[in-house]
Amino acid sequence: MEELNKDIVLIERIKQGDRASFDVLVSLYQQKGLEIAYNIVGNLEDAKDVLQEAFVKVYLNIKGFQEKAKFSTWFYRIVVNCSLDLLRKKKRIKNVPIDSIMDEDGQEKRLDIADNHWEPSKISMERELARDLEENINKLPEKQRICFILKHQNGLNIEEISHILKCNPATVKVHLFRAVNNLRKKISKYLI
Amino acid sequence: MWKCLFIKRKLYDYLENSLSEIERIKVEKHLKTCNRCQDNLSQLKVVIDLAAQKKTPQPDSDFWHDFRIDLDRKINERLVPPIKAEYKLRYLPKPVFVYVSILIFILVIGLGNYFYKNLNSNFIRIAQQDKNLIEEILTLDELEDNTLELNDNADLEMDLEEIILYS
Repeated sequence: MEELNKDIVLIERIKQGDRASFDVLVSLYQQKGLEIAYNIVGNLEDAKDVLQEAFVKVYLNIKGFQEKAKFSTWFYRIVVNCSLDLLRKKKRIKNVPIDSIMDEDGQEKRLDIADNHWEPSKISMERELARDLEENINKLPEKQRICFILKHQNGLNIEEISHILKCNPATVKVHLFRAVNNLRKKISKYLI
Repeated sequence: MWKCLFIKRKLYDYLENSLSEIERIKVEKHLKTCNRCQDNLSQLKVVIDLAAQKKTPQPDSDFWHDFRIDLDRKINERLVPPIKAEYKLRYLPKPVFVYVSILIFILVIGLGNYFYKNLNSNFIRIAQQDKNLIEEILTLDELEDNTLELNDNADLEMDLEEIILYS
């Protein structure tokens, strides 16, 4: 609630032409916006361009923003749309170079699963699995891909995703269910 | 089998802890006895855990400093578009004048073509008449020449007659 109030105050000042308030708003949302853009477009350079484009659109269209809506939802929607526009322009699906799965101490991190039905025998297999998973995420249908990325890579909840994509929460759940099952089928060869 | 199909649809929600209490108990009860559904569950969890482990960049302050500079520049460009040096004609005719000029041009060409054809036929006729005239003249000349010859011969005959008479 406090965050919401802070956003409202900043937006009011930006509407009156206060550039300093806009800088504050940028600093509040730049990291999260970058993460969303990065997970969709796949590389830092494009993500930076997308994020800049999104902030430019925010600045130019801030007068049309209604305070009853959440700024974060509106902003993330712009980021998602700008990311998709960039991908359509490039007309290719980018693969993200998979970093090693490390924990904070730099140790190789094993996957934490509830049961023991799956145990990777080699570390390289984990990396290959991660790479394969990323490739298959990029190959998902657009709606499934966006829902999956926003939910499982950016940590947004179903309600937020439904506001961003302007659809029902039930629709988001269907997209997520299909995405996860499609991915499970694609990588099942590693998990036998 | 039908139960497995029903449970399979609930496994994702089970992992997300979004099932009701009754549904959760049903799923857990089934999982205790069904290896296939257990495998499905563990595979789903692998997918979700792996996806969540993906690292996103955490840029340093230099990156954001450059980011802000570029952002300000882009906003300023959108607010005030750059002045482009355009070459403008001193005199730019209005479209109406252009259309009228084109119409007059077409009329001139059309009329010119018409008159050219008509004049041409007249000239041909005149030329033809001239040709006839010339032929007449030439014919007359020939006739005159012949007459003169005849006259010359007549004179000769007369001279001869005179010579005979007076000899």
